[in-house]
Formats: sequence, C-alpha cells, structure tokens
Amino acid sequence: MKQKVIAVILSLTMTAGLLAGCGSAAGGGEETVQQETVPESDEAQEADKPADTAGGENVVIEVLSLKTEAGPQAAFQEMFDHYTAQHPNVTFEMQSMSSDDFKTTIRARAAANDMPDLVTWMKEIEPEFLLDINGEAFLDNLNADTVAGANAIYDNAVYAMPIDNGYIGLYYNKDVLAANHIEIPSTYSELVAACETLQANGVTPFASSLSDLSVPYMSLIALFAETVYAPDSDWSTKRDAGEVTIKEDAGWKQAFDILTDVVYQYSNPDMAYNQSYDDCAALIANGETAFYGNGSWALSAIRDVNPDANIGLMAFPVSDNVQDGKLLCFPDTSLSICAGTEHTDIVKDFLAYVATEEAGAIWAENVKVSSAVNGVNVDYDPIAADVDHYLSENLFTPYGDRVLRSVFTDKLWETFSYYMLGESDWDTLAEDLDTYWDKARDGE
Amino acid sequence: MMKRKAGNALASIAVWLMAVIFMAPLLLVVINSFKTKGEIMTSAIAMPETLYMENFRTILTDDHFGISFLFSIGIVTVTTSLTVLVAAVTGYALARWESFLCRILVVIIMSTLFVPFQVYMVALIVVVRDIGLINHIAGLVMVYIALGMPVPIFLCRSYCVGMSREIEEAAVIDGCSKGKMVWIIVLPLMKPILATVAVLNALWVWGEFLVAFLVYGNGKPMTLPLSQRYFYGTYSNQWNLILTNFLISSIPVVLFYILMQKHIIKGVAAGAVKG
Amino acid sequence: MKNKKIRDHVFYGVLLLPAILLFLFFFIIPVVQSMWLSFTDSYGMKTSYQFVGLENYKEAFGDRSFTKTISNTIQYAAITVVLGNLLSLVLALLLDAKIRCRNLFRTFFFIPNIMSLLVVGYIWSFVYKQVLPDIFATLNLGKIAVLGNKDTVVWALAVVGIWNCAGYYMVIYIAALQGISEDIVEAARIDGASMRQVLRYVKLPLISPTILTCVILSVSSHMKVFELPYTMTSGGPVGASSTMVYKIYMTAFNANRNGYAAAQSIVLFVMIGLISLVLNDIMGRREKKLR
Repeated sequence: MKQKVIAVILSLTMTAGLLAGCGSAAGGGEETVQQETVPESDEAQEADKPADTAGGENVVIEVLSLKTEAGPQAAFQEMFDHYTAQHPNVTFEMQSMSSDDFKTTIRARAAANDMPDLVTWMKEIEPEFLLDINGEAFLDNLNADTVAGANAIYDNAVYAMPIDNGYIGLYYNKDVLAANHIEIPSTYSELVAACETLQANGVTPFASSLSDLSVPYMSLIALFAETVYAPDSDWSTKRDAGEVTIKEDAGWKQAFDILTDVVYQYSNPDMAYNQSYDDCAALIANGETAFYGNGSWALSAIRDVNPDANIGLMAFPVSDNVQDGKLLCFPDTSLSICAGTEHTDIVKDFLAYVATEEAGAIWAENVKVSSAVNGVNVDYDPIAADVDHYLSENLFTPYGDRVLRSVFTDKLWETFSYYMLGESDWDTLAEDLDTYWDKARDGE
Repeated sequence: MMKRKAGNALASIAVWLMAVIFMAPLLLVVINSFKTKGEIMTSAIAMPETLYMENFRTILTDDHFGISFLFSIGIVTVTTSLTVLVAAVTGYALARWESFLCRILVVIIMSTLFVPFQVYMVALIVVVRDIGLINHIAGLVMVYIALGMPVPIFLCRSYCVGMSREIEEAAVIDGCSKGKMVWIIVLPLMKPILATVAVLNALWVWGEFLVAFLVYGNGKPMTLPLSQRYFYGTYSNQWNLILTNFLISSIPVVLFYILMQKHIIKGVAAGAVKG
Repeated sequence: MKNKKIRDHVFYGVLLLPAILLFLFFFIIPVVQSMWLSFTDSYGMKTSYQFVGLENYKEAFGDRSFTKTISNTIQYAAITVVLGNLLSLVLALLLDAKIRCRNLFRTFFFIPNIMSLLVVGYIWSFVYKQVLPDIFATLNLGKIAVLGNKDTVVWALAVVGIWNCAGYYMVIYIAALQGISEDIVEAARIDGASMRQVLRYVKLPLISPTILTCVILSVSSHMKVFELPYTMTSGGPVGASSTMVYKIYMTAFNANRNGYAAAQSIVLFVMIGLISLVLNDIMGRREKKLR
C-alpha cells in the first residue's frame, strides 16, 4: 500500500512538472505577446487642438491583434501615435499574437469577461461579443463591396470594419524565369512545362513548407476558390441543401490535384520539412525558387528579406483557358469593437480615424496592401499593378475559406496533407470532408 | 580486484560518452548564441568565427527583461512560501487525523494526476473571474498554490507519518496549545522535507507559463515566461536570438538547481524509495 | 473526553481548511463543469449549448482521426517508458559504481529535466531542423528530415521525451540502489557470483518495486505529452505525431468543439486511470509474492 501511495506521490511530482510543460503547451508554442504601450509623448501633450477629450479622463484602449508581421505592427503604431497626438487623453495598448494563440486568448478573455476594447476580426468570435456598427457614418468612407464582403456571414449587421483587401495567389520570381529562358506561364500546361524546365536546370520550382502546413494550405484555398467558387458562387448554398457533394465535384478534386501535382511535386519535399514560412519567403526573395503560393501578408515577409526582389503575382493557372485564372481577392484585415467596451464612443471615433485617407495610406504603405478606404491610392509595391490587372479585368473571386465553417475547415486542415502526400485516396478524403460539412451545418 | 578496476574504467568511459551525448544539444545552444543569424544559416555545427555578443546585448537591454525578472523572483518567493506553509499543515493534518474527510481528500489529490490541465483550464478561468481575481497578482498566486500543492502535500504527509508523536504529545501535556505546538515543534521538525518541497515548487513556478497566461495574461508587470513570448514570435526565425534568450533565462534555474541539488535529489528519491 | 475529540476535529479541520477551499475552487468545480460539457454540444465562444447525452462519446469511438491519436500516444508512451526507464537504470548503475565526478554527472543528466518542455521543444526543433541536416551534409550522407518521415517522427519525439526525463528517474534508481545493503552484495560475491549475476539475481529483484513505481510515473506523464508535437511537428506528417492531448487541444480551439473535446479528454482520463490501476495491481501481487 505504502508503495502505491508513494508511486502516486511521485506521479504527482511529475504532474507538477507536466503542468509547467503544458504551460508551454496549451498556451501555445509560439505565442507572441507583444506589449506596445503608446506613451503620451510630449509632442502629444503639446498638440494644438485636442479634438475629443471625453471629459479629459485618461483612457487606455486595449487592442488585441493577430498581425505579427513587422509591417502591420508599425502601421498600428503610427495610427495610434497620430490619434493620441489629436486626443492626448487616449492611449493604446496592443498585444499581437499568431492566429492560433489569438483563438485561445480570445476564448480565455471571453470566459474571463475581460474582453479588450478593439480586436482584429476573426470569424470565431461570436457576434454576441461584438458591437454592431451598422449605419455608422465612417463606413461610407470605405469601399461598399468590401464592407459587404467582410460581413457576408452576418445577416444585416456590420461587425467587421475591413481596412484592406488581401489576396492569395502565385508569386513568381521574374529573374529566375528569365535566367532559365522561360516565359511567364499563363496556363496550366505552361506552368507545368516551366517547372519541368526549371527542374531540368537544377532549380527547385516551388518554395513550400511541410513543417508549417499553412504554406501549402494557402495555395489550396486559392485553388478551390478558382475551381469551385469562381464558377459557382452559390456552391455552399447548394451543398447545404444537399444538391451537390465534394466527392462528386470535379472542381474540388481539381484543386486538390493541382496542389499535389504542382505545388507539392515541384517543391523540394526533402527540404520542405526543415523549412518554415520565413524560409519560403527567403527562397523566393533570393531567387532560389521560381514560384511561391501564398497571400498578401507574405509580401512584407518577402520584402523584408530582399526589398528589390523582382517578383510578380498571378492567379494560379488552373486550366489552359487564361480566363479561368481568377485571383482570390477578399477583405482581409478587419477591426471589430467588442460589445463590452466601456469606451464605445472613443473606439468608434478611432475607427472613424482609421477610415480616413491619412490612416488608409499609413496602413497601405506599411502593410503593402491595397486599402479599403475610398480615395487611397498608394503605390505600395510593384505587385499592386498585377493585382489591379485582375480587379479591373473582373478576373477575381471573393470566396475563400472565410465563408466556410470552422468544424469543416478544421477537418480540411487536418486531412488535406494526407491526400497531398499520397496517404489517402480521393474517395476517403472527400467522404470525410462531406461528413464534416454536414456536421458543421447541422451544428449551427 | 583488477577486474573490478577495469570494470570501473569501462563505466567511466560509458558515463563520459553518455554525458557528451546528453549535453550536446545544450552545447549547441551555447555555441550558436555567439553566432550571427547568417553564420547559423550557413552551418549550425561550426564554431563561431568571432565572439559575437550582440545577441546578448539585444536581449539584456530589452525593456521587459529586467522588470519581469525581478517580478518573477517576487512571485516565486510569495507563492513558494505560502505553498510550503499550506502543504505542511495539510500534510500534517492528513497524517494525524483519522477521518472520512481525510480519505476523500487523499483521493481528490490523487485524481489531479489523471486529469490533463487542458481539460479544465477554461472552466478554471471562469471561476477565477467569478471571484474577481482575473489579472490580479492575488489570483495568480492562489491558483499557483492550488495547482502546485498536491505533490508537496503528499511528500509532507508521508514525512509526518514517519515522525514520532511523542514530542508532540509531551508538548501538549506541558500545556502548550495545539496550534502553538504545530508552529514551534512540528514545522521545525519537518524542515528537511519542506526544503525539498520549496525547491521543487520554486523551479516549477519560475518556468510556468500557461497558468500565468490564462489567469494573469493581461496583468502588469509580466512574469518572465510571459515576457519571453515576445521573442518566440517576433523573432520567429532568428535562431540566434531565440537560443540566446533560452540560455540567459536558463542560467538562474541551473544555478539554483546546482545550489539546491541536495534537496531536490533527496526529495525525489525520498518519495519513491522509502517504503 | 468527548469534548477533546470534538476539539481535535475542529483543530484538524481548521488546518485543512485552506487546502480544501483551494481545491474546491480551482480544481473540483472546474473539473466537474468540464465533465458536464462532455455531454453537451458546447461550441466555441457561444454561451448557450444543449444536452446531447452520449453523442460525443459515440463520435469519439467512431472517429478515426481521434482513435489514431490513441495509438500514436500509446506508441510514444511505450517507447519512452521502456527505453527511458532502461536508460535511467543503466545510468544509475553506472553512477552507483565508484567513478570520479559522480555528482557532476548527476547534474549533467538532471539539467534537461529542469527546463520547461517548451524550451526543450524549441531546442530540439533546432537540432532536428538545422543541426542534423548540417551534420548529414558534412558527412555527405544526403538529406534528412526526421520530423518529416512518418516512420521516424514518433521516435524522434520519443528521443526528446527520454532526454528530458532520464535524469529524473535516474535519481530515483540511484537512491534505490544505494538502499541495498553492502553486506548482501558482498555475501553474494563471496559465494562466487559474478558482477552480472549480482545484478541479475540480487540488485534488480531488490529494486523491482522502484522500477514499477517509475513505470507508473512515466506512463502517466508520457500519456499526456502535448508540448513536443505542438512545438515540433504540429502533429504531422499526416497526423503521425498527433497525440491525444494535442488532438484535444485542436478540437477545442481549432474546430471550436468544446463538448467533443471534453469527451475526448474524459477518454484519456479513463485510459490513464486504467493503465495505472493495472500496473498497481501487478505491483501489489508482486509485493505479496515477495513476502
């Protein structure tokens, strides 16, 4: 008996150790909690006309952001500084973390009844925790389509104020292509041919990571946006009604096949497990690979490595008809006011500032994206011309993964690599996905 | 005799070999913390070309490091003292008092072993919120005591079971009140096990992240593990800075371990073997 | 007399009060609430949910992506428990011999244990992703990605788990070995037993209770492994290193299904409990046999 008790004692010692470990654990391996307090600078104190003083009381606005890149953080900082200069009694405190950690944190904060004042929007945040800003005057400064797109999942309410338009597409390094005497491919066959040539010349065509699966996942999103939602924007409604299934949908299969046959096959699978998101950005920036599928946020990572990288952007060629190449463009970063904030007026006033051309320009320049604010036309990057081409030619599709339910996307996230790595066949994958689509729909 | 000597020599070689293998990952951390990012990318196993100190400067001059360091020391001191006190009296009472309640309590303490923390962490936050201690130092300390005390209680209990009752009884007969008796007689007698408990607990609290993140994530100043997150994310791919950060933050723990190793080893061993 | 007894109860009750209150608020209440969740469809940040009976449990046993993590976890635990305890025992035997700098070595082997598993995970990511490929390149052995191969990944994580814990169990084994009286060993040697025979027939049987203790301890800790897959592999490739607690975490925070995650963790809870009970039972019977 004694031995038993003692075993338990010792196990408990281990548990204590484990708890410590779990710490690392559940909290998140790579939480970034960055505290950025904006002090009331002297400059701010001396600002000529403090427009809004809210009774002169000092107010700290707490912001939770899932933007960890340097660009957006600098942009937020600059906007905070400007606002504080105008309203010396208002200061901001921002925490930035990865989206995984953001999910955990926001859940904990909601449970603790301790929500911040302002957050970057995420579909996981239930509407009951957010403030409906429908009808606010400052929304008129924003592109109406973008606002509607950002709130597509809500009925007649505006919980998300979009500040930029993002995209997911295929980056290509023009210098690498030129060095190998390859024309920029515009169809699927040309893309495959280009990869073959590159490989024959000893160049790895695609940059990809397998240790960070979000890298190939982004390509997948862009692909099914082109093959499923571009031809039929009502696909989800039909699927909910049971009129179509993933298993029998040629578009879904095509998206997965292109991901496997091109993005994965033409990467360097051996190295991909040792490469991270940042490594991929470095590969395309330094011209070690020719192609890289990812979103607008990857641009600042690429520019960080090599500001002069000669790169361009295209929609994934999915067929031999150039017109099928549609760029996935969607409202990306959005801000939401939390329902429980005590400073509703001030936060709204700040959002009104964010919707001005001045703030829009700050954001677009730092983050290297196109602003959602009307009248902001920042030449943020040579890439902008490529994006504009798709927008002006109406060759874009707005539906990516953000209209999908998280029970389904969690399954997609878990299983897409099985198919890509040849571990499961199409029927198994598709049946699994169909099951979870139904589960997600019925759960609501 | 010759044979035994040869055996010892073999054992020495084997131990040296194992030690090298064991320490290799840590040596790599040390070596690479003196390299630039470029050097690491070129080769992670080469020796540094020069003693590059910039990594250390970057981390030591970080605003949060100093404050968090001191704050963590404060938290550890308070938490560990209180945990030791609670564990000592609880362990003593469980060893001396024969009642149904005690048996229930022992079962509950045992069951903490089987329940992964992730299972109840969100519910825990709700409780902490309901008693109004979210983001309060007091809340953090209380949760630390609650989560950190099961092992100490068991260690103290089994230690008390082995202590003779005669001195206690003599003291009571001499007219000492029971409360006073625990304070001036029992606790001093428990000193060896309390030292062990204190050291193990302090090591845990020093490195603890998740609990701090959940119940005190938004409090100021941050504990050291909380402020360290800054590096993991911001410098996601800058191994030079990440490794240096590990190195610097591990130094106090390793020193503490070396100073206290007698107590740690005694405690770990006492629990498992006596009996 | 009766009076004294009541006073005793009150006295001990007061001593236990702080611990009881702390347990009640920070362990019992949250755990019971979480268990209740496993019978509901609680979802993400939604504040309302419905009772669904045993639905979540039914799903758990039919969900291959969850049952697969059970076998992954058992595989990981089996490797770390068996090889880890073996290594610790060997280290203890070596350090029990009279060699120089014994204390220094003990420190060496124990240090990995005082680092948090998060830090351990990061260090070994560095070893596996940067150092090992460099070594292979230097030796012209081609490319290597131990974390990218579904046949090696669990082993790779197990190496880290063993590295982290070996010193801890080593200390326990050393203490047990030092508890063996010199006389018994000497007597065996005088009877002509070789070193190996002494080990096989004297030392190991004498410390067998300690071995079982360590096995129970390591089973319960390794079954709950989470931070290693979390920091090093995200459960990949193709889910080969996804452990139960990692899956529970993903279900709760990625798929947002709190109810289902709670049911999965109850399954884990029951499993660890059962394994510990069985081992305890074996231990009890052995003890009886020895007497």
